[in-house]
Amino acid sequence: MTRVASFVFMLTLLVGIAPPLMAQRPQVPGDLGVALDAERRGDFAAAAVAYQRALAANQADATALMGLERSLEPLNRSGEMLVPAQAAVARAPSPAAYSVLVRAWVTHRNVDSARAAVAGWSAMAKGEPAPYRELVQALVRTRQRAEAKRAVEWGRVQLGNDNAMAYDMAQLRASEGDWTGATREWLAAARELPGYRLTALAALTPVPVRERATVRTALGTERTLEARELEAGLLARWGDPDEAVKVLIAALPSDRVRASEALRGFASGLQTRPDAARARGAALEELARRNSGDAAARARVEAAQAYQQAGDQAAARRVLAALPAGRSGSAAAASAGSTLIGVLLSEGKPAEAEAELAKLRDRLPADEWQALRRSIALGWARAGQLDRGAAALAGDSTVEGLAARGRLALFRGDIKTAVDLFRAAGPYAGSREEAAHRTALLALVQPLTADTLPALGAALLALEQGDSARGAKVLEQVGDALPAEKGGAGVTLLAASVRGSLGDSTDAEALLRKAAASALPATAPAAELELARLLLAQRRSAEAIGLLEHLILTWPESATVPEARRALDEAKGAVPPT
Amino acid sequence: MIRRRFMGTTAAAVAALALPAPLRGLGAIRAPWLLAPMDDTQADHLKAYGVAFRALERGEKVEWLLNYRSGSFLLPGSAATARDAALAGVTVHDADAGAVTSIRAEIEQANMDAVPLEKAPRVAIYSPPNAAPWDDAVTMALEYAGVKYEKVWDQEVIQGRLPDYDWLHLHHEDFTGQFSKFVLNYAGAPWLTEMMQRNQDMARALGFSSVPEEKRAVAQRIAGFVEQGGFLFAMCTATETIDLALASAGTDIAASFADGTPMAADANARMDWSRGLAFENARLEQSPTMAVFSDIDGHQVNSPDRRQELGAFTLFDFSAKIDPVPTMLVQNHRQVIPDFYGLTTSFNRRTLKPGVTVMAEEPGAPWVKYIRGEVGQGTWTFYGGHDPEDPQHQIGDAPTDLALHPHSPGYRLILNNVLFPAAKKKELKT
Repeated sequence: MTRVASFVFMLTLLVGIAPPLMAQRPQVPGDLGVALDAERRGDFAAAAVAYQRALAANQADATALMGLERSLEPLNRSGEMLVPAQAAVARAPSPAAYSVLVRAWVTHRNVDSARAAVAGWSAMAKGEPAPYRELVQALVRTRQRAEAKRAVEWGRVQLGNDNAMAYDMAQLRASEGDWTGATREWLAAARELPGYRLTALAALTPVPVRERATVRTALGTERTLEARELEAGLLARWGDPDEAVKVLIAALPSDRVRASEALRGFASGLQTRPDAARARGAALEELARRNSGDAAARARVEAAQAYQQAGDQAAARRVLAALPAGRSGSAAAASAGSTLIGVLLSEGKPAEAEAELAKLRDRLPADEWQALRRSIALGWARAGQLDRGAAALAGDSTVEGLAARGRLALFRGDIKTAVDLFRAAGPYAGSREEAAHRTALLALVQPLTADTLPALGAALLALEQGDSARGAKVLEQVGDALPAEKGGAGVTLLAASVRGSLGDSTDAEALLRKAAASALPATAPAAELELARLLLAQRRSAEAIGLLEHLILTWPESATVPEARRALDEAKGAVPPT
Repeated sequence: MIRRRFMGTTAAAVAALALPAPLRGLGAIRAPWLLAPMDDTQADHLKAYGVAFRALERGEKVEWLLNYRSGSFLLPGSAATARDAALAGVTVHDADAGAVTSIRAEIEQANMDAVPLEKAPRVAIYSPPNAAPWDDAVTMALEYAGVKYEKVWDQEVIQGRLPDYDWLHLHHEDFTGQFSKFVLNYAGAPWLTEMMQRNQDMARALGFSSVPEEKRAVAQRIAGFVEQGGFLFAMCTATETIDLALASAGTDIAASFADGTPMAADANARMDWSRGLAFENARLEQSPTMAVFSDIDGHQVNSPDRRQELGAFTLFDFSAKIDPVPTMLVQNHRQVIPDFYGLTTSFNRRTLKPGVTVMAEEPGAPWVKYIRGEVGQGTWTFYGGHDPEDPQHQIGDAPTDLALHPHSPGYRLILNNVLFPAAKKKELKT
C-alpha cells in the first residue's frame, strides 16, 4: 500500500469511527466544559478562569460556583469565593449557593456573617439541620473547634432539638478528650439513626485504657438496650468478651425479635476473633434458647462450633445434646453431626466419631465427608492405630488425602513413602497451618538417607499424641545415631525445641549447641537463634549477643537474620522488650 | 603510584567478588570506602547514624554527603565498619576511588556538599535518674541507633558538669517548675506524686527554696553552656519552658501548686525576653487551671477550646554550600512529615525572635515546627512534639518500637542533630 493509499485508508477509518466515540463523551457546553476538562487534568488555574467565565454568564450556575470553589482551594485562593458566592445567593438563593457562602465566610473567619447565611438558608429549609451542619463542618475544617461547638448548640436551639447534630458534637467532644461527652452524644446519634451504632462503636474503641471506665459510666446512665449493645461491643473490643456477653444478656428485652437481633449482631462482630469464641458461643446459645425450630437448631450448632473452637468440649456437648431429636434430615442436624465428630476426636474417641460419621454418609457434601474422614484417620493415628487410620483414608485421592497418608507413613517410619506423598500433595494442600507443618516435616526428613526410620516415626507420633517427654527422648536418640549432615542436626534441633517447651533448659541448651556446631546452613542459624533466645531468657545477654552477632555475620543469607536482628536489638536494650 | 593503587583496588574488587557471600564484605581485601545511601534504598535509616557515630568513635573519618541521595554517609571501608553495618542491617555499598570521584563531581555541580565528620560528640541527655528510656524520643533514637550517651540531671548541671559534653538534649522537662501542670489532670497518680517528691527533694538538696526557682537556675546554666559553645537540642515542653524560665528571672510565673504562691499578676509585663533563646512577646497562660504554659505553642493540646488538629510539616531546602548547618539538620528522604503532638507541639511564628531560622513549617498555619539559632559560641535546635511515631502520645501509651519505624523521617531529624556537632568546626560556620 502506498503512503497516500494508507493515509486515505486511515482517514476513512477515523471518519467512520470518530462519531460513535465522540458520542460517548458527555456534552458540556462552552466554558463549563473547558473548566471541567482543566480540573480533571489538574490545571486548577485554567479551571478557575473558565469557571469564572461561566459564572460571568450566569451568576447562579451552581455547577460553576462549586467548581470554582474546588479549583481555588488547591491554589490557596479560597478567600476569593466570597464575591461569587454572595452574587449567586443574591441572584437565585439555593442550598448549593448558600453552602458555598457559608464556607466562604468561615474561610474569612467571619462567623457572624456565616451564621447570617445559615439563617437565610434555614429560612428556605425549615427544620432541616443541613445549614447548621454545613457551618459546623466548615468550622471544624478550619480548626475553629470552639466556634464549631457553639454552632452546634446554636443549631440545636434553632431546631428545637437537643440531640440534633449529635454525630458532629460527638466527634468534637472526642477530639478534646471529653469521652463522657462524646459517649452521650454517640448515644443520642444512635437513637436518632440506628446506623450510627456501628460508627459509635468504631469511634469509641480507641478510647485510652484509663478513660474506659469513664465511658462505661457514661453509658451506664442510659438504661436502654442500645446503650448495653454499645457497652458490650466496646468491652469485647477492649479485650473482655466474656464480660461483654454477660452485660448484653442481662439487658435483653422479652421482645424475641429485638433480642435475637442484638445477640446475632454481637456474635457476628466476634466472628473473626478466636479469643472471643467462648463469648460468641454463649451469645449463640442464648439466641438458640430464645428461638425455636430451624433457627434454634442453627444457632445451637453454631454455638457448639464456637465452644469447640474455644476448647470447651463440655459446653459444645451440652449444646449439641439440646438439639431436638427427630430432625435427622435437616442441614442443621448434619452440621451438628460434624461438630460432634470434632468434639469426639478432641476427646480421643475415634471409634465413636467414625460411627457418627457413618450416620451422616448421605447428608454431607462429598468434600466435607472426606475432610471428616481425614480427621478421623489422624484421630486413629493419635490413638496408636495406624492401620485403622490408613483404612479411613482408603479411596481418598485428593491432595489433602495424599498429605494425610504421608503423615501416617511418617508415623510408621516409612520415610521414603512419606517424602513421596508430601511432594505429591504439593505445598498448598489443606489449611495454611497444615501446609506449614508439612513443609517443616519435609525439611526434617529430606536429608535422611535411610528409606525407613521407625524410631523417628515413633518420636513424631509421640509428639502428635501430646507425649512430648517421650518424643524428645526418642528424637535425641535418633539425632545421636545419625550423622549431622544426614539429618542428625535437624532432628537434634527438633529435640532441643521440644525440651525447651518442656522447660528443660539445660538439656535444650546442650542440644542446641550440638545442632549449631553442625555448621549446616539449614540448621546452624536456626539453632543459634533458638539458643540465643534461651540464653536471653536466662539473662545471659552477653553470650546471647555474641551468638546473634555470629549468626548475622556468618549466615547473612539465612531467613533467620531478621529475627536475629530483632533479638539482638532487644538484647542490647535498643528497643522495648517484646 | 596511581597505577599501583588502581591495580590494588581492581584486584581487591575481583577478590571480593570471588569470596563466598558470608565473607565478602568482611574479608581482608576491601574497597577504600563504603557508601551508606540515605534515600529509599537504605534498609535502616536510623541505624545508619549509629554506624557513622561508631566509626567516629573508633577514630575513623566519616563524610556526610549533604543532599547526596538524601544525606548519605561516606564511611571508611574498614572491616570494623563493614561488620558494624552488617550487624545493624544498614545498607552500604563498596565505593572505590572512581566511584568516589564521580560522587564528588556530582556534589560539586549540584546543591550538595561533603562535610567531614571528625570526632564523635560527647552526648548528654538531661533526664531524671529513673526516667524510663521509652518515654523520650531522643533516648529511644540513641538507643536504637546505638549512639552512646550519658544522663545528667539537675545536680550535674548545677555542679557545672555540662562542659564535659558537646551535645545536650533536654528531656521533656518543665523548666517553669510546674511539673508540666500534670497536677491538674493527674493529681494523686503515684507516678506524679513520685515525680513531684523527687523534684522537691532535689531543689532542697541543692539549696533552693522551691522547684521553680531551682529549675530556673538549671535553665540558666544550660543557656550558659550554649553561650560557651555547646550544642543544645530540645523537644516538647523543654523548648517552650526553658525560654519561659530564662525570660522570667526575678518574676514568679509558677502557679501556687508548684511554689505555694500564685503567678505574679504583672508577670507578662515583667518578662525579659532578651534573656531567652528563641522566643519573644509570648503571653503567659495565667490561669492555674489550664494545662498550658503560654501562647508559644500553636497547638495547645491540653486546652480543649484551643487545641488545633495535626497537619503535616514541610522541611525547608537550604543551600548546602552556603548554609551547611541548617542543611545538615534537615537531611531527609521525605520533605513532608506528618505532625505529632507534644505538650508543646509547635511554635507560633509571632513569638519567634527575628534571628531564628525556621527549618520546617506547616504551610498556611500560623506555627512552625523545627527551628534553630545561635547564642554566643553555641547553637540550639528546637523541635516541637513528643514522639514522631506516636502522634497522639498519651501518658501510659505502649512504648514506641523503632524497629517498626527504621525509616522514620521524624526521627531522622533528631539524629541529624546528634551528628551535627561532629562536623569539622570550620564547616559549621554559616
